[in-house]
Amino acid sequence: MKLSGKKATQLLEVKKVKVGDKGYKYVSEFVTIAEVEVNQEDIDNVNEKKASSDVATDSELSFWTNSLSKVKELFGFSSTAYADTATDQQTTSKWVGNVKGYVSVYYHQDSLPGLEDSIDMNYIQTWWTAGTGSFVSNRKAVMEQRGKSHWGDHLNSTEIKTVYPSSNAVQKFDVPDAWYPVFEGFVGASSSSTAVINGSSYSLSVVNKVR
Amino acid sequence: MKRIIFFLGVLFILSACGNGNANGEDSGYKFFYSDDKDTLSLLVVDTSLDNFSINELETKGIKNLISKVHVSTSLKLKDNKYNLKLENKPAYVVFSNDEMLYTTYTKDELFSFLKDYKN
Repeated sequence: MKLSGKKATQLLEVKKVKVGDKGYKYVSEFVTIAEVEVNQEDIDNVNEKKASSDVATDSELSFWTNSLSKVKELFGFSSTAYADTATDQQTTSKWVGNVKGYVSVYYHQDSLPGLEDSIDMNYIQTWWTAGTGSFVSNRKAVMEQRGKSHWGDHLNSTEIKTVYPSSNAVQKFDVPDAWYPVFEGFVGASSSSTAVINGSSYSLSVVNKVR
Repeated sequence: MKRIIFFLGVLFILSACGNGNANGEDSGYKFFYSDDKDTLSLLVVDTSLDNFSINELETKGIKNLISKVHVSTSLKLKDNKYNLKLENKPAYVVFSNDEMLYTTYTKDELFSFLKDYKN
C-alpha cells in the first residue's frame, strides 16, 4: 500500500502534536509542493489516520508516526543530508578522592532547512573509576533536552529521562527519538552517585550541558 | 535635576555598550571555556569522534587537570560562530575558564603542554 502526499522543495515548518500513547502527529507546510509516494513497507511504526484525514491538502501532509527519523525520510531529505548520527560529543568529569565520574553527551545539529540552529541529543555514556579502598553506589543519570523548538509552534520543550547505570563500566543510553531538537536551550545529562572512600560516603555529581 | 538625568543617561549608554561587548564574546570560543578556575577544558576538532578519549589523558599521567573535553567533527577550521581559526585536523585547543591557552595539531605536543602546565 502507498501513501500519497505532498513533498516540498522548501520546508516552512513542521508541527508535532503528541497524541495519547500512540505517537505523534506531524504536520508540515512547504513553499512549493510536488507529488510523493511512500511505500508502506518503508514506513515503520506508521499507522494510517482515519480515512477522512488521509487526504493531503495542497500545503499539508498528515500522518501518524512515533519516529522522528521517519518523518525526515518521508519529507524527502536523504539520510546523508539529514544525518541523525552524532557529530559532536562533550565529556565532563568530576572527582572526589580517588573516585571519578564521567558523563559524555553525543549530539548533532539539526540539518533540516531553517532548523540548523537546533541541536538534538543522540545518546549519553556514563562511567566511573574507583581507586583502591573505594566503590560507587546509587548510580543515577538524568538526560535532559530543554529549550525552544521549531517543532510545534516554537513551543518550550522539556524532555527528561532518568536511567540507572548498573555498574562503573561505560554504559550507553539512547535518547528517545521523539524528543524535539531545541535552540535557545541545552541538551545534556547529569549523573549522581555515592562514592564510598575508606568507609566514608561522599556525594559525587557530574553535570554536562551543551549550550 | 537635569544633571542627574544626563548622568543617568550616560550610565545607560555605557551599560548598553558593555552588554554589547559581552554578547560579542559569548558568540565566540567562550563556549568552550572550562567551568572553574582549577581545571582546563579541551576542544578536539577531528574527523571522527572516536579519535580522542578523555581516558587518554589519564593514561598519560595527566589526571584531574582537564574536566571537560569537547570533540567535534562538525566544526569548520575557520568557524565564524566560535571565532576559530584552525589550520588542520586534528586540532587540539586548550582553554582555561577565561581564555584560550594553547593550540596544537599533534597529540604529543598537547600532552607535553598539559604536563608542563600541571607542573
